[in-house]
Amino acid sequence: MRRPTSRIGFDPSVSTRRQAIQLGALTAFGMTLPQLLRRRADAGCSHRSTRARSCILLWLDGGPSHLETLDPKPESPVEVRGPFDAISTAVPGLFLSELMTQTAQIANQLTIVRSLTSPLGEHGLANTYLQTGYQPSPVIRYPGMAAVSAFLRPSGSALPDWIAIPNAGSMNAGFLSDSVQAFETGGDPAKPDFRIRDLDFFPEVGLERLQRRRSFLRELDRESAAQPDDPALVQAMTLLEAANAREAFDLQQEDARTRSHYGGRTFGQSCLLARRLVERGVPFVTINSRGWDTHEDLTLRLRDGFTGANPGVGLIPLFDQAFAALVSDLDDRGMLDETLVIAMGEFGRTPRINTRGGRDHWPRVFSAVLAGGGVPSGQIIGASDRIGESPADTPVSPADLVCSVYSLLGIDPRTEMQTADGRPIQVNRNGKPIPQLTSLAGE
Amino acid sequence: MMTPAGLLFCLALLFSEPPQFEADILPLLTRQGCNSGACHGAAAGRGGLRLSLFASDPDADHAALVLAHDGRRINNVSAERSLLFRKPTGDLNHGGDERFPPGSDDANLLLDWIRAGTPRDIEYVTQELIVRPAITSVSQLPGNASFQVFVRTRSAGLEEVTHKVTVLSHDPAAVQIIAPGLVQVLRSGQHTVLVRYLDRIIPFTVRSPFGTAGEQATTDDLLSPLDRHVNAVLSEMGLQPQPPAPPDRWLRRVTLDLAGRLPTLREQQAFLATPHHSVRREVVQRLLQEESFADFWTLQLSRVLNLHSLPNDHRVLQTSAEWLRRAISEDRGIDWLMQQIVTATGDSHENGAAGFSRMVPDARSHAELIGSAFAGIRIGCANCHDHPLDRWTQDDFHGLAAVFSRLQRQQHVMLAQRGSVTNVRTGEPAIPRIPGQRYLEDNADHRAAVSDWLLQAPDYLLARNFVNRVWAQLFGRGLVDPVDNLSQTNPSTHPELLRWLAEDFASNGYSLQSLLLQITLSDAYGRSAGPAGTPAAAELFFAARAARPLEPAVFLNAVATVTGVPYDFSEHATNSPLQVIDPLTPAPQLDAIGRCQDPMTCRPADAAPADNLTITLHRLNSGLLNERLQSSDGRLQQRVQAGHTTEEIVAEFVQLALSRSPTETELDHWSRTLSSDDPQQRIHLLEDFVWSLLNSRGFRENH
Repeated sequence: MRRPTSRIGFDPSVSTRRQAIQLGALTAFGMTLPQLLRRRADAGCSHRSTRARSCILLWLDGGPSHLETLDPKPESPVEVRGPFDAISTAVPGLFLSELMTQTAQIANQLTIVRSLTSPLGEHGLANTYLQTGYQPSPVIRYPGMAAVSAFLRPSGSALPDWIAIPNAGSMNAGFLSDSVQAFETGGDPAKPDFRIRDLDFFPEVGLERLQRRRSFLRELDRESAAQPDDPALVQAMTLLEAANAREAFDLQQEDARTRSHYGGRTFGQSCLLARRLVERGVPFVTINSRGWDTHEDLTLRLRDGFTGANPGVGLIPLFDQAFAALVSDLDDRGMLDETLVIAMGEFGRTPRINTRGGRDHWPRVFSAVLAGGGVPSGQIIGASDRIGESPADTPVSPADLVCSVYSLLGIDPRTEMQTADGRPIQVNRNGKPIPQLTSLAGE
Repeated sequence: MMTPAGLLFCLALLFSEPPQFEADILPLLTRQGCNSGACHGAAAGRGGLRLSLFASDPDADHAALVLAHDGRRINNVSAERSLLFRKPTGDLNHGGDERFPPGSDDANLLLDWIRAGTPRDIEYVTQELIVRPAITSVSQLPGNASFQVFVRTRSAGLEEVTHKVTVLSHDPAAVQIIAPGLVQVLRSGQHTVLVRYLDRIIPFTVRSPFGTAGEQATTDDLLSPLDRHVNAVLSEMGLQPQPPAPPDRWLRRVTLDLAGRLPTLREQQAFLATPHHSVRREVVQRLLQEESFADFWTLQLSRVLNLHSLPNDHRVLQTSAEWLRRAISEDRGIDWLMQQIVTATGDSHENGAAGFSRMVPDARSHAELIGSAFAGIRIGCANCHDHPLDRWTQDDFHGLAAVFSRLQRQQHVMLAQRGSVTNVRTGEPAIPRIPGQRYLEDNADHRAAVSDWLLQAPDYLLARNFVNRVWAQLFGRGLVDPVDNLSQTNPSTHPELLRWLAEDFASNGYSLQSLLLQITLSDAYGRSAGPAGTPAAAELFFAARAARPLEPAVFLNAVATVTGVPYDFSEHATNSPLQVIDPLTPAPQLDAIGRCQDPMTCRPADAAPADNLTITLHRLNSGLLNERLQSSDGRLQQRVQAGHTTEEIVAEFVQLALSRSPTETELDHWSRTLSSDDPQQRIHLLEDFVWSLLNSRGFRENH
């Protein structure tokens, strides 16, 4: 397979990924932060001013039920309505599932899309569509939003441009894989001994020796082939050279009240870690939350978590607490406007409960929620029909949603990237920005 | 009985054949996307109308359109007022919008059919779909290529249907569909266009050469058939083969590929003294006899066969792995191996072949595993609907599963008296079936028939799949890629080579070792990687060697060799990473550098992922390498202790790690760079040097 040759094709003034990495590496050789910031501003690819500096994608893997979360149908028959009631929220007329009590209180800071629609009901295919905005193709592996952002908008900071908590899961860099990689934290942020593996120097091998090794390595590699530096190697060195890298991941430095506000379990502490990273300039953080493929026993899986739990610690209460805490914490710190938070999965669930008390895959209509990043808040975009089976109004395709996210992040969706074999691929092709999401975002 | 309108149309029919449901209306539904998975072809249908996916079930479709709801979709009195007409032509609100306007050809076809009384031709059953030519070349870009499509049906015989088929380009940037039977080619390379008609789908392949300049690859009689096939494609694609790799490169390559290890210093010296072609044969034959070869290929096959530990039963994995290893080291035919695995019963603690049935939870998973491991097909796609991109039907899949439905997957693997799987299509117990061929008499053990099916000429399912997997293992890419998708719609870059290799493999007793010998001694295998900037296509068509990262097990094996400090996989009771079989039992040092740990999603391509940031960081800054460099038992510290000069140490490590001699310039450079009066500082410099060697591309890749 060929090594990286990806480059941006639309605008020669835009810095390439590699140049940006070199910029990052320069910190070690005395380039000051203001210099870096200036270079970054010169290199900005946005054709318009933008508010969203960073993005946090909460990926609810498996396909969360829209009917039990953002789009309850309290008026419909029980086999549609499901086991839970709906509650009113801070936005008059907006109802959410009764399991979303915290989210309900901050509903005025959210935008809910209730009319996402896609033809793809298989996990792998749907993951690609929702994460990349492209339906899967046998000839091209499209990169996800996090990878495109990291490729086109490198922050120039020492921390990686895409950090995945605890792993990237199904999210990948597609044909950008040779240039962009997720940095996966591994581990469980909720554990007291959580730390990032391999950030501490090995005994007797400090930074100075690592840098010497790096220069030896460069000589050896130059000899073997005239190939560019391995981007993962460059990033790893940058990370090791960064003084604040360990500190960025250290949740012990958060006060106890903040930690408990997010909820003490994995998802809550992952959200807290995401906020810490965004605060330190990481442009894209993804959290992979697994288990949403609830084909059976909604009450156990979504509310209780284990039999007899009270209060429930199922998927939704844990999500609810962490998501609401994240949005309000970002708001309290004045970061919400420049941080786009998205929570979604690859599809919704069938309108009718199945024989096992669960719901199966349903891509025809489902929901996503966004906050911050300059998105006008307190609105509901689109609607599903009476039983949450099809869009009733304003159908939004995954391509539209992804297109809107790019716009909010200041990435021109028409930007061309190139595959290894020189094929130009637009950042987004089939999507149209959703006006309610992007209209006030910077135009 | 007959209405006046009906009478009129009966008169009209005297002058033209009326459209028929099977021959005209079903292709129309496919052409217009009505029966696609996104619309009425979805398992749940759409808007109350459910059609079979891509018209695979004409009876059900006719019933749904003509008979359902007391025939409300058809208006016999006034065809224009039929729901079936008003919806797709936009007269009535339709979730799928207007598909074709009134007055269009398709609209008229539909009307004519309704007026004719919605006739059927149940004998119009597709027997064969043919595209002519199946493959063609376009030399000038952009350029056009045309094709004709013919169908053979029971009622109509052979007829041309070019205008009725649905044509799909997977890659519109390379091939665009211009008109029925006409495409425009925009990029060099091999491209596939899919042609769908009724329940059949076949590829039309277009090749466009990359260039015409330069020497043509030779295809003369001195070459082996393998190389003739490879070179013929190179000529057609206008690609020039790279020259042979230097002997030291070849030795490193073949040792890593066959035995998962680096060549020793002695092997290098012996081979480089006389690197003739006859000596190459001896080298390969010696490698094939090695323990390391058996370990490495057991590991590869264990992944294909989904071998893993079972909860509360450690014996079965061990027994099956040992059985597999013995079969490989004794070079039992792969046909024998497959037969044993498919038909085994008995105590899985004693009979290793029986354990493989326990690697899947149920009959459907068993059918899927048989399909993927032994035929390279994804027959499980035919669970809820006929395979949309291949020839397998739901009856095929559930029928194959039915063969294994009575199998009891306990320690004693045996056939129970009863047991069935439900055919999702019929809701009835599935009838055992050889996919694509015939139903089997009920209530017998049909597993031997499945094994026969996998060996049958002319398909040679097992042989095709196996030679393709081995090719991918040795070249980094299969003749069909990915290797678990040998479908009709995923054509090979080298169809003739694949056919020849499969037949040759089958006629040579399915000998893995002969196959490996044949491939590793070929010119194609021995080519060099080519200079920087060699087009990706050169690797795709095997004009140049594709450099690949060593897979995690091979990387650690090589590190242990160079540093002289073995790893310890205590959970697997071995020091050799090549013997770490079970993906479910942790092997921390391997897992940290990307070993695949999920047997269901381990694909061959995942065996050697490009190192990501996390893995790179681990390689750079953990004990993975550092412990071995600092170890007083290790090669480096021992050499320093023994008073070797810097030059001697550099020479030894370069030779071991990169499998080549250092140049004078290198020796000179590194001797100076690594020298220090301070002994501790010298040790640090040497450690840093060996660390850099182990992180270099030259070491981490097989090139």
